Amino acid sequence: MKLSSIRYLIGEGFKNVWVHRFMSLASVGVLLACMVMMGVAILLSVNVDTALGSLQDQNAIVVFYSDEMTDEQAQIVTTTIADMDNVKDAVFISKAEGLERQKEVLGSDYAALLDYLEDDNPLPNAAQVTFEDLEQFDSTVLAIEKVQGVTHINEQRDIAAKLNSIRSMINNAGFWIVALLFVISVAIVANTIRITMFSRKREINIMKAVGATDSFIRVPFMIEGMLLGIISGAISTGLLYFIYKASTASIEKSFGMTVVPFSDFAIKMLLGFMLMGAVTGVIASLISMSKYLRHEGSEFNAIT
Amino acid sequence: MNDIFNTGTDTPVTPPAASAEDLIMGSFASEEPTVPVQPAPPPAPQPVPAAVTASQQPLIEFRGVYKVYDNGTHALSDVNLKIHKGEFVFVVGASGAGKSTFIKLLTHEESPNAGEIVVNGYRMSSIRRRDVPKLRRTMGIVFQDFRLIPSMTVFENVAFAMRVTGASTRSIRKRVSYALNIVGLGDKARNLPTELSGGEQQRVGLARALVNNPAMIIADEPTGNVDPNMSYEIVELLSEINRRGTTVIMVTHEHQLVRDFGRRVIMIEHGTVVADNGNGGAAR
Ligand SMILES: Nc1ncnc2c1ncn2[C@@H]1O[C@H](COP(=O)(O)OP(=O)(O)OP(=O)(O)O)[C@@H](O)[C@H]1O
Ligand SMILES: [Mg+2]
Repeated sequence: MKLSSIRYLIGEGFKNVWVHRFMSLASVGVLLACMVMMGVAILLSVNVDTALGSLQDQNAIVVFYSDEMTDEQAQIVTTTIADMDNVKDAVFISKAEGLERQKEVLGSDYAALLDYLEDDNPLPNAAQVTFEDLEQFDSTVLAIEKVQGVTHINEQRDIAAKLNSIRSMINNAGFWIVALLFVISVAIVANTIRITMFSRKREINIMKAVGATDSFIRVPFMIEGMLLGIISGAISTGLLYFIYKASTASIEKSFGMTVVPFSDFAIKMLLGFMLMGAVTGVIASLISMSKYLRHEGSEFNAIT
Repeated sequence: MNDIFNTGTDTPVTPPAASAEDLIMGSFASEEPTVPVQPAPPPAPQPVPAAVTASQQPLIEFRGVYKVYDNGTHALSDVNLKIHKGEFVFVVGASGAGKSTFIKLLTHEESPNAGEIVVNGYRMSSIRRRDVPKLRRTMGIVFQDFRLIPSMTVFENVAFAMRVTGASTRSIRKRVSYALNIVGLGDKARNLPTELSGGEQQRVGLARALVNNPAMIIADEPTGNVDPNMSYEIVELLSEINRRGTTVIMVTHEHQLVRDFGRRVIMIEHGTVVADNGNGGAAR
């Protein structure tokens, strides 16, 4: 296709968005609705995922050491554990620190009780160990148990496993919601374009009569669909920003929970939605056009 | 080679001699539609008599053509004819006789059920899908209901036919005003079709048909929606275009027009050609 044709066809695509502005508005509206729903699903799953991730990080196991070891020895064993495969971090907790922590947990009323124990601390030395990959939880725990001086391990295996499965469930659900909404928006936009295609059938037939190739007829429609998609992608990201800001403000206030800041994924979301919008628009216009490009006899005259 | 098409067998498909086909394809198949920037050549002499042109390759040729629509209507039966370059042909006949079907076969809107049609070197039985637009660029099609795009100006409606060929903006500007001047609408270029009379709209349609300097103009009842005076003007314009060398095929119901212009007349009745006062050797 020649450059002058391409320039003309792109111009026609832009023009069509305006000439058929009611259809454009309808398509953008549909896309916006779908994209905002998609965005809400994505934002929810990102936040739940992050929250669960931080829970997992806190899901440390506690390794208790034999009383026969001195604090220095226990510290050396802790560094050995910290160097092991799949261990993210190992923090030594001395007897004394352990007692302090217990006091904090029990509160001031009982703290006084514990003060009596200070001279004869019954708590063992310990270490708090976090993992890199929870899939390898079991094997890592086994390895730590074999370390000299480790008496026993306080593990919460099932909680780790549950958190893992909830995370993957949420990720899966997010993916399917997005995929479903994508298919729905392609279908609805294709239908919206098809409605006006009926009124543009005449134009298409005239194009055929003067010898336009299929691609020449198709390109402006594809550009039009692409533009509508990109516009929808940009607007929906903007809308999501306000929705997110408004809803997270109240969540943070009432639950004291921190959410992922929008800026963390704003660019990714903007580009992703614009790309998705463009793809949706092009696919939808191709679908809605195919019927009119097929040769079905009397193509110039089958218009009234 | 005339005998090949004159044998008068009743079999729907008359297999033509391979050499004849090759000659046809050889002389036209490579011909690309061109968009000359220069105005059309000076008036050519009046259409040469059929007897003289019979030896040349016809621009259009029907050999034993049958068209049956899906609903079983026999629209055309065993049509054999040739139309040579430079001819002006009226196609007449009662309503439902098959005239529009004849036109649709020329433009490859419909395909024949049997027989062979060759138009400007393209064989309709074997034309590739991607060659159909090329075929159509060798013809200017004029419709009874004008078929202008309402959202485009007169200029854009005419320019459109050139845009599909990938013509440059410069040559488009030149050719479109040239074509609009021929039909006497040079001053209406910026108007919308709805701002024109029926006759003027049809002249825009005519300008669009001739802007690519096609080998032929095909018009199905171009005067059907305009008043009688304008009808004459439109046929005058077509005659003028024909004098410059373009073949014209025009379907009409207006017998007075046909009589007054005194050109070749093909008469179709119930799907068969019943009279033809100048069929280049293929009359039956
Ligand atoms: N698409 C179609 N499907 C089925 N039958 C058709 C179709 N088009 C035309 N016909 C039939 O084929 C016959 C010839 O139709 P055609 O349109 O060629 O006639 P015509 O000579 O152009 O008539 P008119 O002068 O009224 O325009 C008619 O009987 C018509 O009903
Ligand atoms: Mg007709």
